[in-house]
Amino acid sequence: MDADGVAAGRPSICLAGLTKYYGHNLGVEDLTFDVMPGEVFGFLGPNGAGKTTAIRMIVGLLRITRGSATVLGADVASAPASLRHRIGYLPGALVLYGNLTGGEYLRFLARMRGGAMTRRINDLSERLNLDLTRHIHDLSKGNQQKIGVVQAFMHSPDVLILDEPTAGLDPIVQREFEALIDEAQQQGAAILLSSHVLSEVDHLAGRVAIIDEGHLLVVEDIASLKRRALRTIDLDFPQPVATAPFAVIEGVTDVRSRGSQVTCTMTGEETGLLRHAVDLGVLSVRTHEPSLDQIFFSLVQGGDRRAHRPADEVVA
Amino acid sequence: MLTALLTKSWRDHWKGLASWAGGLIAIAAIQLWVYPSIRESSEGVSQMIESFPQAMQEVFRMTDYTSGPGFLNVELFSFMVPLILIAVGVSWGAAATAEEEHRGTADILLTLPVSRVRIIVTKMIATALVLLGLCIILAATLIIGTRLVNIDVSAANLFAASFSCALLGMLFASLGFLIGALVGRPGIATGVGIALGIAAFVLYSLAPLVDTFDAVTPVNPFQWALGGDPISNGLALSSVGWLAGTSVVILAASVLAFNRRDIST
Ligand SMILES: Nc1ncnc2c1ncn2[C@@H]1O[C@H](COP(=O)(O)OP(=O)(O)OP(=O)(O)O)[C@@H](O)[C@H]1O
Ligand SMILES: [Mg+2]
Repeated sequence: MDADGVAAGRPSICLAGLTKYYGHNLGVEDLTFDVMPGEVFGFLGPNGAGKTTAIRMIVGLLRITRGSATVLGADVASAPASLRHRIGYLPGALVLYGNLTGGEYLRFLARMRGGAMTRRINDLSERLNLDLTRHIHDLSKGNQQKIGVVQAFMHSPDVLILDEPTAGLDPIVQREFEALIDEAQQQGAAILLSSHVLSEVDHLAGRVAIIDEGHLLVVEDIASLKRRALRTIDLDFPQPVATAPFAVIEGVTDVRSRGSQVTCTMTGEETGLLRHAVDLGVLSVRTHEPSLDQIFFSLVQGGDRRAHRPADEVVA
Repeated sequence: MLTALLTKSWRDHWKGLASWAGGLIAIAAIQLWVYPSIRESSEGVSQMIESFPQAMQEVFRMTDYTSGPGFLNVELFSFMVPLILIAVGVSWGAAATAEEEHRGTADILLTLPVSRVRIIVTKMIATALVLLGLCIILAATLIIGTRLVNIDVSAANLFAASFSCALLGMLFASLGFLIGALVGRPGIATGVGIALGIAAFVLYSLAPLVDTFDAVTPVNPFQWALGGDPISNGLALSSVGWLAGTSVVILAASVLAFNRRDIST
């Protein structure tokens, strides 16, 4: 692609030892990961983990304490403002100018970006079912969030940085949002998507970084993460079955039964469990998506967890 | 690009500005309307003023009260107009640096492909234009009004007095910018800025009575703006220089502070 940044093989976002202290309080410490062009990268962590802190450093709202963040080849600490022509950013706590209508606000931003972008604004608003003629302070939270989505996408940026973008969006709009992400990805954009819900980034992201208390726990493929994650599986049988044989199957950590239903908690491959269930004539199998909590729990159990925090604190 | 920001400022604030302008016109008009009766009974008024304690005469700078320019000086330029322009200036300065961050709208504004320096300088220009506009409206009201009630004072001097107050407003506006850029809280920036304005006013007013206050008068912005009696003597280059120079230094410091600032929510 073009010479300055979106070249295959060169990361679009590159964090190296990125660290932020708020005075003496830790924001994030030593974050290191890359997001490649055409990649949707999930950025996960519980409340207060430091997702927003990291993102605000990348977009230049916060000054970096230590380490560096590079976007499209330019160090954000010294990059000219024009770099931001190629970045789309949706803040986590979105606040718009309430006294303007959606259309006025978006036209203002377009002018500040040096263009009109009328077609794109109208197109995006139509897709998200957004009424541009209403005053922003009259719009619901979700409809305001749509304006946030439009302003992030309207200049077709090469890098999208989205802090909990689907907050408040209804399922239909959420689908359309996912379509927008897909399109941007197809056009080679690098997309950093923060969330504290795994299921949200699940079918969008390829890789994820998980942080907690300002520290990176893992950067991994979502699929392999889920394989490792602790999850629960409900198995329905024609009649009650013995639970003891389940407990010894590899990966299973807990077994409970109620009537003819068996619920197993497990990590890793499900093959052994399913084979045993089929032998017993299982009627149906339901796997519950591992929640982020469960993944943390798995990470702790797997010993990836930072040593200073005891596991029982996480469970509590 | 920056015209978009100026246009937005105007759109957001023209109603508020219209009421400030209306207020200035109203107080100027009322004083001009009252003045002829003061002039007619000038002997009585002069005697009354002479009967006031000496201290009070000095604090309110009431010598020459019955002459047209002296009257306007006391009634408009020693208190009301400077404080109004300071209040407008400080609140614009504080809003420019701190309000957007405090409300959370800065997140998008400051991640647009426009540098923070350009954004803040544009807002400084907007503030200067607002103060200049109010100054012109006030001067125009006074120029017309003094003609109607036969006060003998030149248009240039009326403009000089208004412009001095606008410069004074700009100096305190620059403090609003600076405090806003340092603390990020519009309430604190406005409060501290206006408190500083009132403190400077009190020091300046009481200077004839209190020697320690008088000692700081040479560096008091009120002295720079009003000490040379612009309504009688016109604009002094030195006072314009001090007011504008100090404002520019403080504005430059606010640009630096704003540019380094962590924008948090
Ligand atoms: N302005 C600030 N001053 C001091 N500490 C802050 C500030 N902003 C954030 N922090 C701290 O930094 C840490 C990370 O916060 P951050 O907002 O980045 O978390 P997050 O992962 O985005 O959480 P959430 O999912 O709730 O949005 C928290 O401990 C928070 O208290
Ligand atoms: Mg956050």
